[in-house]
This record gives sequence, structure tokens and C-alpha cells, in this order.
Amino acid sequence: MIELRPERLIPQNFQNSSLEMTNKDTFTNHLNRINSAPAWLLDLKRASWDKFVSTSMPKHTDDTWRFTNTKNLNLDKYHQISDIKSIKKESFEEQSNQLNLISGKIVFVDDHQCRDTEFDTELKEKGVIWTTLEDAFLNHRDLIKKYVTGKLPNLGAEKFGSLHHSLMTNGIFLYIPQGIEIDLPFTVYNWTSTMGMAVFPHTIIITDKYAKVNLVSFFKSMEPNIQNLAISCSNIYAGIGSQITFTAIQDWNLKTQSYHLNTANADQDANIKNININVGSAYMRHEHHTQMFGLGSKTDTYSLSLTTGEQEFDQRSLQTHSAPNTNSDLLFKNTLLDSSRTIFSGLIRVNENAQKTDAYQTNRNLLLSESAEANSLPGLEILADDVKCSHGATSGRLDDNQIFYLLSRGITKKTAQQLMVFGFLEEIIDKLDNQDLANRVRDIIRKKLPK
Amino acid sequence: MDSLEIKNLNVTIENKKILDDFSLTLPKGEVHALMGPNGSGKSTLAKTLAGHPDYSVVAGESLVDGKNMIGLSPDEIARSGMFMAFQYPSEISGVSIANFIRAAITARLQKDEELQATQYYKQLYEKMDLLKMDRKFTSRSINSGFSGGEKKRCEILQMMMLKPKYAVLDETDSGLDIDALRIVADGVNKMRSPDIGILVITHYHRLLSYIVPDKVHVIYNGQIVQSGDKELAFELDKKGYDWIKNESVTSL
Ligand SMILES: Nc1ncnc2c1ncn2[C@@H]1O[C@H](COP(=O)(O)OP(=O)(O)O)[C@@H](O)[C@H]1O
Ligand SMILES: [Mg+2]
Repeated sequence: MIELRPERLIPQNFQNSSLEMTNKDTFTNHLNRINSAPAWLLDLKRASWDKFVSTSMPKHTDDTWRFTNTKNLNLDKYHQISDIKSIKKESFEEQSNQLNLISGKIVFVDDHQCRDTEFDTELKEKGVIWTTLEDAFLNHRDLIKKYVTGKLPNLGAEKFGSLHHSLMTNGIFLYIPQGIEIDLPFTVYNWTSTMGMAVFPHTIIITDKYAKVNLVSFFKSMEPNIQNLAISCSNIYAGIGSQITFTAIQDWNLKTQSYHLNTANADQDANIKNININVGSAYMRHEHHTQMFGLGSKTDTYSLSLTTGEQEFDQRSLQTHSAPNTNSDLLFKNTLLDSSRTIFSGLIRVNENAQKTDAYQTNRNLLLSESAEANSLPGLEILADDVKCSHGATSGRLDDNQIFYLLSRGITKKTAQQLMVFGFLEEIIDKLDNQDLANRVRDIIRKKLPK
Repeated sequence: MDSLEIKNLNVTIENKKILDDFSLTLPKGEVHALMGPNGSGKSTLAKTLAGHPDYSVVAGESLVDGKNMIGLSPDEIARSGMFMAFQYPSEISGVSIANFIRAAITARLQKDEELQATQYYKQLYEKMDLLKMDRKFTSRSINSGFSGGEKKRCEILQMMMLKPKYAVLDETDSGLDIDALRIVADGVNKMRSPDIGILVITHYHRLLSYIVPDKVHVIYNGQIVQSGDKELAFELDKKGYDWIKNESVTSL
């Protein structure tokens, strides 16, 4: 039997011991714990670890790390093992209830599944697979082997992505068979709860022909002051004519160092919509690669962020068109307060054969403080000649006359700020297409704005 | 008697004197017109009364029923009962008219009071009907892509919803065609009551045949140079502002 749950495998005295991510014992111990995993997975992990070790930490002089404060990145003070039995179930149960109408729910605390999978039985009977990776390695061996490949967006954070693949133990696996359309979202909650813990949430979504599905992923910390490393990877594969909506709510605490490395791959006539809500983390690296490899496929990528204090959000995206008649849209909106920083670097790449491509990329930044800083690096690389592409970036500081206008009606400065922020971000919230979820997101934003 | 009393207001911008010992008393219940050529300081007065931070008040007072507004923040001044309709209203994308006005009303409520949504919309729609504004406007962003006339109607809508004690309308007539002018003037006339004092700033007399003022003041070089009844507006129109310029020179 394959067992990926560290706490059942490690000797008691080993628990809570602090291991540096860069220490080779970390990996040796990890392999020992999962030695019954399939050989292909162990091979993948070994190769990933080698890549991790042989890749150096990013430097700000690297092209893919321009504008990043690379000196803030480190892997030294985190460990992977903890005893999760001490966690009070009620504390996260209650908070893992953001949406009422759902097709299924999985909750992880420190990468361990802590309650049974919720799953609409009707969908199960139709052949839908909604489960943890741990379970998929056991019960869906052939299918999972095709999709756990170590695929990364390859936009610069390969060292962190490799670490993810070498140490990841869990995540979710969602597979929708041909022709099944599901409207209510599946939800997954990824909690951190232990000081110094490193987590590696993994997400796989696959739709067969003409299927339709929606997943909402929450990334949250149980305590405001624990320091965690989170390296999350997601790989989405939309089959012919299918439709996937994937929403990630990155709401880690403000001490977390996080990496969200995502790929979205669209086959013929498939549609992928990806929405990112980014509010948490001291430092977040968000890499997103959408690939339209099927004729007539379409992807929409949206992101909203609200940064405060000294937060730094580092966003890198690539839209690759490798088939004709493909369509992609990307809109990243950042709202910056205090001394926070954002970086947006985006590229649209249209391959030679991808004629009749429509591709758009927009980054808009709203700066609400003098000391906030938004960097924008939009780019195009077009090898086909019959395409429509545009990119644009704007950064606006709220102008004094606009503030005066709002104040002159008796609204306080704080309320004016709230109105402006929502005014700016509502365009993305609107894309959620789910009133419950939109309200949760509004709550998160409201909570983060100065009182 | 309650009034808006502007006393010896001296205002500079970037060290340039714009308002020069400007005084004017607007009793509650009356409508006064303030007329004057371009650059005479009309908008400066309006923005100073509303607390715009760019204008420095060197001396003088603006008393709302006896309470001095100078030094208060723009939102405090507004909550004390002042309202200004802007000559050039700002466009603010993303913030809907309905949410904006609701926030402004909510800011005026006591701690234990709550705004009833149905009541609010009922009122809002009533006023919009008066101003012949399509209900779709409620969800549109403040002034974004509005025509000149739509912007001015939106200013009057805000005044009607906020029910100020004193309102200063800065060139609400400029850029309006005759139909829009009539609608805006009707709106202002509906607001006339013993509970409000209105100062209508304009440099054409045209508006004043629709909103008939109790008094007319003429401003030139940051000072009031003439005051009189509504006939003054027509005289001014016939003789032009040069007449005032010459008058003010000779009177010196
Ligand atoms: N923000 C400003 N910066 C510099 N000068 C200004 C500013 N606002 C007004 N002024 C100057 O003040 C004078 C009066 O302007 P204003 O009050 O707008 O006149 P009116 O509204 O009567 O046309 C003008 O000479 C104008 O150039
Ligand atoms: Mg003016």
C-alpha cells in the first residue's frame, strides 16, 4: 500500500524536528517515508530534487526576476513535518465553509486531509473523480501517472517548482468524464497551522470532451503570525470542447512566503477561465502559463490583488498560442497601499502556425500611496502574421480632485478609499459569476483595508 | 436669522491673491446669483467654501448658521450642511452613482441609524424622474462618459438627495442645451424652500430667467462690486461685463 501521510510513517521523536529545505536529509527522509510510492513517482521526485539542488537561488539580475527583492527569498527556516493531531478540528471546520452550494469539498491542514471528502454521490456515479492525490496514487494509478509529470510554467521559479515536486505529498485530483457538465463548484481548502511548516499543495483538473467544471481553491493560514513556505502547483487540462473555471483565493497570512505556479492547457475549442484573488503573503510569486494548443481554444486569465504594508507580489505570465483561431485574454489589476510593491511581467507568444489569433494582455495598477511601487513589463512575441494582439499597462495614482469630489459629499477619507478600491476591483469580482463567492471576496478585501 | 455668512474672505493660490476681502450673506430661504467674468474668482469661492486643500484662506470666515467652516475638512464641511455643484465634476470609474450617494447619506446618519434600502431607492428614483434621468444611471460610474448635461443633472440629483442647508451651484448652466437647462432649473426650483439657501454662480443671465434670484451680486477681481435685485442681471447682459469693469474703475 502506498502511504504518503508523513505522520503515520515517521517515528514519534522525529516529529516537529526542524529541517532546512536545502539540507539533503530533508529529501532522504521524505523518500524513506514514501518508499512504497510507485516507482515512476519516486523517479520524478529524485529528478526534481536533483534539479532543485543544481539550480541556484534567483538573483535580481536574472531576467525572470527583474524588480524582485530576491534577497527576501529563502528556504532555510522551514520544515515539512509536523504532528497535526494537536489541531482542534472545530477551528478549521467552521472556517472551511465559505460556500454553501457546492459539488464537493476537501480540506487539508498542513498538507494532510483532515476530514472526509465531501462529494455529491450522483456525480460519483457518473464517473466523476474528486479525490486527494494520496488516494489517486492508490486508486487511479494509470490516470494519475499521465498528469503528475512535474510540469511547471517555467517562468523563472523552477527551483521552487522542483522543490514542490520533490517534496509534495498531497493535493487534489479532479476528473470530469465526457459530456458531464457540473455547475456547482468543487472547493478545496489549504490551511497552514504550524510554525515553520512548508506546504506543497498540488492541483490537477482534467476535463474530457465537452465536460464542464468549476473549482475554487482557498489558501489560508490558521494563525496570523506563523511563518510558512507555500509552494503550490496546479496543472489544468481542458479536453476538446470542455470548460474549466479555476479560482484561487490566495489569502495566506502576511508572514507567508508563497509560490503559485500554474499551467492551463486548452485543447480544441476548450475554454479555460482562471481567476486569481491575491491578498495574503509577505512575498508571493505567481507564475501563470496558459497554452492554447488546440484549434479554436480560448483562455481568460484574471487577477486582482490588494497589497499593504511591505508586501511584494511578483506576477509573471505567459500566453502561448500554438494553434490557429485561438483566443486569450488576460487582465491583472493591482491595488497598492503603503509601501507595498507589485511586479507584473507578461508575454504573449504566438507561434508561426497560430494564425487568426486574438490575444490581449492588460495590467492596471491603482496606487493609493506615494510610497507604493508598481512595475509593469508587458511583452509580445509574434511569429504569425495574421493576428490581433494588444497589450497595455497603466498605473494611476488616485488624483486629488477625485478624492476632493468624494469628500465634498460628506464621505470620509476611509470610505472614499473603500469606494475607490471596490470601484477598481469590481471588474474582476464580477468575473467570479457566483454571488456567494463574490461576497466572500468582498469581505476579504474589506477586512484588509485600513479601518 | 440662519444664514451662510461669508466674511472678509481672502484666498490665495500659489501665493496669488484671488479673493480679496470677499463678503456675502445668503439668508436661508433665499436664492442669490453670483455673476462675473471668467477668471474673476467664482470657482475659487465655491471650492474654498467646500474646503478644497489647494486654496489657502489667509483671512476671513465662512459661517454656516454661525459655525465657521474654515479649517474643517471637506467631508466635515459637507456634513455640516454645505453642498457644492461642481463646474467640472470629476469622473470616477468603478464607483456607481447609487453606491456613491448611499455612502454620502450613510455618512450623515447617527450611529444607531440605518439606511433603508427600499426607502433609499424610492427617493432616488423619484428625484431621477424629476430630472428625467434614466434609471440605468444608478449603476453607471460617477460621471464616466457622461455628456455635459448628464453631469450637471447628476450634480443636482446629489443635491436633492443630500438636502443641504446651503448650496453653491458653480456654472451649472454652462454647456447645457435649452431642454437640459430647463430640467436642471426645474430641479433647483423644486428645491427652493425656507430650509435652504442657494447661491447660483453663472456668467450668463440665461439661467436666471428660469431660476429667478432674490438678489444678484457681481464679482470682479475677487471682490463684490455690485449687488442688486434680479434686474441687475439683465442690465449686465445688455451692457456686458465691460460696463462693470469701467464702473469698478470709476468707483475707485
Ligand atoms: N488651481 C489653480 N491654480 C492656479 N491658478 C488658479 C487655480 N484656480 C484658479 N486659478 C486662478 O484664479 C483666478 C480665478 O479663477 P476661477 O476662480 O476659476 O475663476 P472663475 O470661476 O470666475 O472663472 C484665475 O486667474 C485662475 O487662473
Ligand atoms: Mg469657474
